[in-house]
Amino acid sequence: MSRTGRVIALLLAAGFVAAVATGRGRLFVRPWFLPGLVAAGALLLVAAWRGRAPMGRPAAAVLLLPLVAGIGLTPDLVGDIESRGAFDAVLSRRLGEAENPLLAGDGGVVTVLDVALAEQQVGAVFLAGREVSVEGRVDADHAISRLAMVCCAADARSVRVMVVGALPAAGTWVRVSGTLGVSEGRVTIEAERVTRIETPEGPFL
Amino acid sequence: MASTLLERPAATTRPRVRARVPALKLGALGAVAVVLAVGPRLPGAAGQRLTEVSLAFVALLAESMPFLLAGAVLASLLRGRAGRRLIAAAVRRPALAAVVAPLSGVALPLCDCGLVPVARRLGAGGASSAVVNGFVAGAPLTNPIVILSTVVAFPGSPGMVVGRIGVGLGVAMLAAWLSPAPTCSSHDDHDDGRPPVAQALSEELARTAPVLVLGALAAGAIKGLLPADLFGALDAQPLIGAVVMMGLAFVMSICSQADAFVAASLPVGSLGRLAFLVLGPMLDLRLASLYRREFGGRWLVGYAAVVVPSVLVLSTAWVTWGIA
Repeated sequence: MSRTGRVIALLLAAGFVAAVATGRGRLFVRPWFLPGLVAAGALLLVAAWRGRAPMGRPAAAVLLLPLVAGIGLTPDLVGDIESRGAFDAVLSRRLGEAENPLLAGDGGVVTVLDVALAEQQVGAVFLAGREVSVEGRVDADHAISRLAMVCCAADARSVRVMVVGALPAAGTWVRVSGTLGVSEGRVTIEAERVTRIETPEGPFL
Repeated sequence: MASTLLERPAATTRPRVRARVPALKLGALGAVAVVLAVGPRLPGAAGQRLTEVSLAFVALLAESMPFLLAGAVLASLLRGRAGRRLIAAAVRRPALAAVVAPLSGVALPLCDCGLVPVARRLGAGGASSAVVNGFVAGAPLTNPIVILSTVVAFPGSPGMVVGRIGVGLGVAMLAAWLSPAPTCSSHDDHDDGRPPVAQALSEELARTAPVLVLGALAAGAIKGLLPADLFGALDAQPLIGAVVMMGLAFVMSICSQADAFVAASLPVGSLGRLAFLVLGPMLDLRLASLYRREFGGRWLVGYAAVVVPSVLVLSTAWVTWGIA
């Protein structure tokens, strides 16, 4: 490969591997896809090592764009993206999804998505009374929400749960601990304790 | 847009102009880089929107680059003896090969991006245009990842799974016979003793990856700037809804392993969902930039002119008369 091409292949390989090593990869893809990023890094190393296709300067510059964009994105910036669009989007099961504790009859630390999926499958009444602790971003109208990826962040959909009780200003990340209840047929969290938290490492579920 | 940025200046241009064109391109790319790096840090709504653009851009690439590279590895394996024999068989029996090509996705667990290098290899190896066209249109819909994810995303509605494959194969047959012949260069046919896999990977990186980056950038920009309340208007008229969903499949450029889950979550009827699911893996913004690079702009226009109306017509027929 021409020298430019080699340098670009090495930089991209480093980008893919660093994304996984630092945890930044979770901003972009679901955890089950992280090995795919490592594999891409390995294949790029092979290209840099023995390949020798010529690469022009414009092509090299184009390939640097995702690195520039990727390095610039932090969990704080991504966590600030407002959930917009259809709120009641019905999400089906996702590939590589862990067991949903709410469907197993338990409570505890769960995600907004766990609550939404359980409500969709067994109904709000069945969930009422469970003690849960859920993290999310405060929405304008008394709810906490998360953006849930199907495969990568480009296909993320907004999921949210209504909260009964005082919440800080919209845009704040919080952990809400309380009991699941029902209001107008929909599941709610009756908050007992609301704590402000740092934006999680993977703001998108 | 994608490939014009990357085309080399024509050999007849005067030297001074030639020197200036790369400088202009590099300047434009520098400006884009500044927007991507600084934009997300702007205060207020502008910053949020640009974060979305940047995030969708990097995420689309993170998801499709591994598949593009895996496709390059697979295409280089087709240069081996068994692969050459396979392509030679396809050249000998063009009619049979054209029927089999769309189904061959079953044996290739690759996403749509990864199939592009394989299609180029088929064309460069001398397979007929019907074989290449049928492969490009059909293989992304018959591959096991896509079928499995559709089954998981639509539990209890076999009509959607069978419809996606059936309508997809129908469209692929039409595309095989009616689309123009792709211009496949045989640029990667030389054998210089280098490890073919490494050479194939570096060629993919130099030729196709920059186009993929620009395609993902365009898709990310449109996604980040799309109005949020688009779906509310889709319920009223199923046909218009289907057309809008096809437009959405084109601009969103979701990986074909993920689009079934997205379709299942969109509040539209089954016609809109089916049209979205069939068109997406065959033609979207990201693929269009790859196709234009590999098979030429005229091919892309001809292919789109066959694929887009047939997806709409066959999906409508399936939803009206097929199994629910």
